[in-house]
Amino acid sequence: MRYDDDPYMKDRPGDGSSGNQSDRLRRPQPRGIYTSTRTSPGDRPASEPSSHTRSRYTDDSNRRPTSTGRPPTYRQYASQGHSAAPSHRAAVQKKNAPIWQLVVMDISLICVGLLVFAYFHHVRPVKGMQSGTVLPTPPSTVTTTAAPSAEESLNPQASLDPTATLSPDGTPAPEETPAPQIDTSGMWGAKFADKFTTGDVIKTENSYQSTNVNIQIDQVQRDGITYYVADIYLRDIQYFKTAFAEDTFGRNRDETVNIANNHNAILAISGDYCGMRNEGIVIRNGELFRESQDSMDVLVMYHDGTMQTYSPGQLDMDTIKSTGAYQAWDFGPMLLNNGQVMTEFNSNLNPKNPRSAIGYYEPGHYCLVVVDGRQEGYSVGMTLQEMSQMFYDLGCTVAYNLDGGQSAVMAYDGQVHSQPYGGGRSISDIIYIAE
Amino acid sequence: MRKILPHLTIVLAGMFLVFYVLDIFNEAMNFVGNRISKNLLVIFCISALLTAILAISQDRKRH
Repeated sequence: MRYDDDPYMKDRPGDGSSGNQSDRLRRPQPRGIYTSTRTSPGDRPASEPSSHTRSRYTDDSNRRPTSTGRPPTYRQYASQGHSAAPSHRAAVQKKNAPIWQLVVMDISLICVGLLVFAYFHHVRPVKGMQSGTVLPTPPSTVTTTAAPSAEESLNPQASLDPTATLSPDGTPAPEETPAPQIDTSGMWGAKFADKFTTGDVIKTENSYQSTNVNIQIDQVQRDGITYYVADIYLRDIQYFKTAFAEDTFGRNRDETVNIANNHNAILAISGDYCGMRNEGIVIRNGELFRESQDSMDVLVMYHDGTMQTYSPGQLDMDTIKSTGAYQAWDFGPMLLNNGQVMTEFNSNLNPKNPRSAIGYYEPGHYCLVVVDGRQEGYSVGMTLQEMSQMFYDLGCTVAYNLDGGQSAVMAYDGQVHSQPYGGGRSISDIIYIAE
Repeated sequence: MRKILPHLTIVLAGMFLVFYVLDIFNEAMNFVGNRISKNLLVIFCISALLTAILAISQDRKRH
C-alpha cells in the first residue's frame, strides 16, 4: 500500500486535507489500512470480513478496539502512546526486540552492574590513612621497658623479698649460691618468668622462645579437621601488634606472609579484613582509625592486656575514646559467652569453613588459631559451634572469630605455616607477634 | 526515557536481590548497607517512582 493510499495518514489533522473534523478523526475501516498486499481497497465489499485483515488486526495488541466495539479513532489511537502512523507499523515492529532478547539484555546489564559494583566495593583502592587518632593510654598500664637495675639483675628476689638480708652499708648480703637471673621487667615479666629465656632465642619449626615472647604452635588433627593453635605468652603488650597492608588503613591488600615479613613478625594470622568494609570500629596499636559501629560483635583489647567482647550496641565509643584501647576488631562473632560455649551466634556464616580466631586466657596469655578447610581428605573446616567448643576446651575465657575462608592464614618464621584454601588471598590487615 | 527507565528499574532490582542474598550469607561484607549500595538505592527508588508514574499516566490515557 502506498503512503498516499493510507486514509489514516490522509486524515491526520494538519495534513491539509478537507473534510469534516469528526470524519477526519474517525478511524477508517480496517479494510485498506492493513491490506497492504491487496491491490485495491475495493476488491471486496466492506461488509465482507476478511480473515486476513481481521486476523492481523486482532493479533496486533497495540491496536485495541474500543469498548464499544468500534475501531478507535486516530485520537484514541494516538492516546495509546503511538507516535507512528499505521503505515510505519513495520518500522515500529522492527524496533521491538523479541522478549528473550530483552531478558538477556537485562540479565547482562545486571551482571555488568554487579561487576562495576564489585570494582568499586572490593577492588578500587581508596585514599587510606597511615595514622589514626591516638587514643589515650591509662597511666597505670604504661609499659615499663627499662632494663632491670643491676641489683635486680644480680638478685631479683632482693627487690621482692622484704626479709632479704642487708649488709651494714645497705647492699644485699652475698649469697653462696646466686639465684639465676630472672628478668621481671614488663607487664607480665614476673608472672610468666619461666616462659622466657634469659637471653638466648630458642627457635624450632613450631616454637619460639626468647626473653620477651614464648610461642608454641600445635597442629591438631581430629575428625577430618586440621587446625593450628599458637599458644602465646608475652612479657609486655608491646609485642602484640597489628598491621595494615602497605602500612595504610584502606583497601590496600597484601598476603598475610608478606605483611608479616614486612614487620619482622615471628607469628601472624589474618585479621578482620577491616579495609574491605566502610563501617565497623577499627583501633590498631592504640590508634583509632574508624569508630562507626555496625551490626557485628566487637572485640576490644585494652592496654592492660585484657580482652572483652561486645555485642552490637554495647560498646560505648565515648568511653573508649576517653579511656583508650589498644586494639579493636569488628568482625566476629564472639565464640564464648562469659567463658561458656555458645550455640547461637551473631552470624549466618555457620557452615564448616576455614577459620581464624583469637583466644584470651589472661593478660599476657593468648592464643591464635587457624583452621584449615574446604579441603576434603585434609580438613573440611569448622562450624562456629565447633570453634566455640574448641576454645572452651582450650580454657580460654574470651574467644573471637576473625576473617576466615580463603583469608585464614597462619604465618610463622617468614613462611606460611597453615595450609590455606586456594593458597590464601590478599587481605588488608594482620595480627602478629614481634619483638 | 520511557524505554530506559523500566530496564534501569529491572537491573537495579536484580542487583539488590543479589546483594540481599549475598548479605544473608556474608553479612560482614555489608553488601546492602555500604555507601555505594545506598546511592544505588536512591537511584532505584527514583527510577521505580518515575516508571510507576509513567505507567499510571499511560494507563489513564488508555482508558
